[in-house]
Amino acid sequence: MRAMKQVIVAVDGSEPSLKGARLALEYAKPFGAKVTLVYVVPPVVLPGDAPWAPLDELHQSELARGQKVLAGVVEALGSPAVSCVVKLGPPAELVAEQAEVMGADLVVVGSRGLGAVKRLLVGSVADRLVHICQRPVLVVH
Amino acid sequence: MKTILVAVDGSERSLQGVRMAVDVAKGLGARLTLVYVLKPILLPPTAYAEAIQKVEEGNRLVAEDALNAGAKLVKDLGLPCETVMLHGGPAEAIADLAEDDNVWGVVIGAKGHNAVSRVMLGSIADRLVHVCKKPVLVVR
Repeated sequence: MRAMKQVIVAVDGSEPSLKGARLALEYAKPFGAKVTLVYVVPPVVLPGDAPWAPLDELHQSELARGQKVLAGVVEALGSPAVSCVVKLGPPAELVAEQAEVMGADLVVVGSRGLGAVKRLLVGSVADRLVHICQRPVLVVH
Repeated sequence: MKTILVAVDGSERSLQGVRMAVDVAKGLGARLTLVYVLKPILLPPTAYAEAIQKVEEGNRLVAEDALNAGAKLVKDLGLPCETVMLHGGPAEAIADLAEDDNVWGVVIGAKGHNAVSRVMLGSIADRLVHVCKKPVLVVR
């Protein structure tokens, strides 16, 4: 059997992403693989006519919010031994990048997150991720 | 015992999917079923019935070869495996089969035979991710 060492899960606190995380834990267990939860905070969009904005502060508070979301996810999962990463920027791109950096053997993503339009079967982040990620991607419905 | 479906089309990339599926099946204690989907033949209605029969027969042989090659690989890696041949639209046929309660999910190569080299994700894998209700593992 090939060594399965690192599994990455893209989470956003939504129910499908929790389902993905649970599946990833179940999957990683027999392999003794490490599980890393990645939450990407979408970039802050400000109106174009905002004369001045404390962008640094906004980013810091968004990243802090991300940490809280992740803490909530870890608690919802029953606090297993997982590591967490928070990033700010375009979600699919940053998850794919993190997968490369960590040499992930598997990337797990829920088919729909928080931002999904109801009638879409697959969310935009999951869709984009299966297109750009160079590592195996498991889409959980 | 849960079953993992593996889509094969005889391409080297789909065999890569088979290898990963074997790892997953061993980890989860699941069994594998290899699936090949025969697409409907697009021939003009005026074509001779005999010609259509010949094409169908040829396609069936290709399908059998692909399934046998995949099954041999699975057995070499130490797992039993079943094979299924389906008819219809590939993504839809696989998604329908995956609705069975015993199915854990589907493993598919990111690109198969027909992929243009500059696309990152084949049309069938892309469609499957959209229409399948069970987890889909896209392998690269």
